[in-house]
Amino acid sequence: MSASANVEVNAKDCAAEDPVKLAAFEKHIAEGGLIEPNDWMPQAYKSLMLRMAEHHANSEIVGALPEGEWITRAPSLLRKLALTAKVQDEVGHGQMLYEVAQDLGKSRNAMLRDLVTGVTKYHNCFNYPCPTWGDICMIAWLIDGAAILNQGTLAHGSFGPYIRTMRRINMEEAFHFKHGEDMVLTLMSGTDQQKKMAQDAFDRWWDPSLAFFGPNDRPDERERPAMKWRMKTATNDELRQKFVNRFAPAAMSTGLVINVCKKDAEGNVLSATPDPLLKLNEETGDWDFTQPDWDEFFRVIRGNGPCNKERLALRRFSYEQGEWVRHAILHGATNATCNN
Amino acid sequence: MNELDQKFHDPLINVLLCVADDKLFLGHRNSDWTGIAPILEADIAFSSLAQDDIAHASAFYELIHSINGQNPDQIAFGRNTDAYRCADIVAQDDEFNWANAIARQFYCNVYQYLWLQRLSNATWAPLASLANRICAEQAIHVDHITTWMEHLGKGTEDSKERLQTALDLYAPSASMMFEAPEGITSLFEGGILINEGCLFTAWNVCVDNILDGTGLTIAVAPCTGIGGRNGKHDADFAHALSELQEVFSTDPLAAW
Repeated sequence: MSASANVEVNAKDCAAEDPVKLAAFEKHIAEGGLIEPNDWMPQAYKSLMLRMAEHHANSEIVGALPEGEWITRAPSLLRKLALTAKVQDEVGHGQMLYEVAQDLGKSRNAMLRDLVTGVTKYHNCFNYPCPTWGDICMIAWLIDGAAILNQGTLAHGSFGPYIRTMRRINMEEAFHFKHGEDMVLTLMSGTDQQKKMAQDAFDRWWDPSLAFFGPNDRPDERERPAMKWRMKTATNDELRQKFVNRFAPAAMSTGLVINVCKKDAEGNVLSATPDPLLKLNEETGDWDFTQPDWDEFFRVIRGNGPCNKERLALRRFSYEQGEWVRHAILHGATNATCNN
Repeated sequence: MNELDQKFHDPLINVLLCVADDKLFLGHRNSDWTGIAPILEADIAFSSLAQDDIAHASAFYELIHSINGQNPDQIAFGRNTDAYRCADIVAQDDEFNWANAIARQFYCNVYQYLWLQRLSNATWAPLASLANRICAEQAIHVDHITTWMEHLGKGTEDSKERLQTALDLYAPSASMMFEAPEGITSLFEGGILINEGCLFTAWNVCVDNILDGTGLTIAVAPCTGIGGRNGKHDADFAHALSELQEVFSTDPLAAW
């Protein structure tokens, strides 16, 4: 799971670019053409695409951490196998996306170092806690479901290597979503204790799922570089609405209640009341809903979420613990081909 | 032979549990590396091996189910500590030290390959068939770990020293892989399993061959005393089991 399109970007001034080349580049994109690594591209496009791919890759490997912590506690042989395979997929997505980013001029090692030193970021949704097995079910259902919606549109972007990678990743994400849906349905068809586990986890993950698509659109969203150059093909609010239209009725059909929740700084739900705005709007055909707590979103994105420090610390531990291994592989007498 | 005389049920289940529990807990420990291994490609590979091991365990629990009708998840997740039959090396806490994980994997992979080869000669056809199928995948595990022994043994002085320390650390628990499961003699005498000589000797030859030229050495003593194969487990195993059962045990009869 993951998303990349929410990286806040600003185009550098393109005034220094060759206007003829820039016009041809923009025409090619407007006509649906793809940009390949060796094609001419404005420096701003290259920088934005690198940030997008790097952020996405970072999100995949940090996203592996909260679910990875539950592999050893998965409650059946099938779930244990499926969860291990799912987390492995996320690492694989990270590996593919770092390759895409490398083509844009930054080494994988530099990207991993920047991640663990806090220079670059990863997706905000991984800074929330997963205290129960129910959270693992909800992440696979809601967050992977959100990622599929987002990445489905990213697969129509303009950078060839990125969209080809998206298409491969999206096929695997579809399995993740099915895995999540199956786990949620199993809990909601189970004992009262299991249903409560699912509802409690749903209360923790509904807001982060809505916020997954990023902040509300700006008025000039479609004129901004990410959309003008077709790195993104749908706005945050459009994707959020699609998500609610898909998941609100699905959640309710399983017996889950969509609540507006107040949480403490650790992400624990203090109170939960049914969303007063939730209804199918007959005029628009869309579901109305209460927006996520944007104050909390910005607090977490600034590094003050329940698990920011924990996630980064584990990633850093992994990076530092593995340094001697990478050194042995790269500089050892066997002269291995493994390149990190 | 597809039919199995009733008198062989208990000893054979005991032997099958040794294999299945070894696989389950080695896979369990190794799966914990998913997402945090030193290199992304190594992460993906190690996770695949862990998934193989858990799937192999599952297949052996299914085989036990075919004998006694017990649910495979109940067998895997629902027993008391002293009913598990794995050697404790498979559940040793590696403390997220890659050298420890590689040393544990090396000892266990070679043992499992040789033992599965022998089980593929069993006269009870369902066991022979399963062991033969898994042996093909187990050979890949041995190839993989052989590569790591070479990379780290011949890598840098530091990597060699770290791996040697890990090999020494796990040597005592490696010897307990060779503890005889209760009832195995009756399976040899009854012709269900073929006694092909000392497994420990064969294993020593094999690990020495792999380590030849790496500068690494091992000194594993013959097995003495009672350990995991007869239900006597250490603290690392108890901790691994408690983690394995954490969610399952909240309601062992629920579907998850």
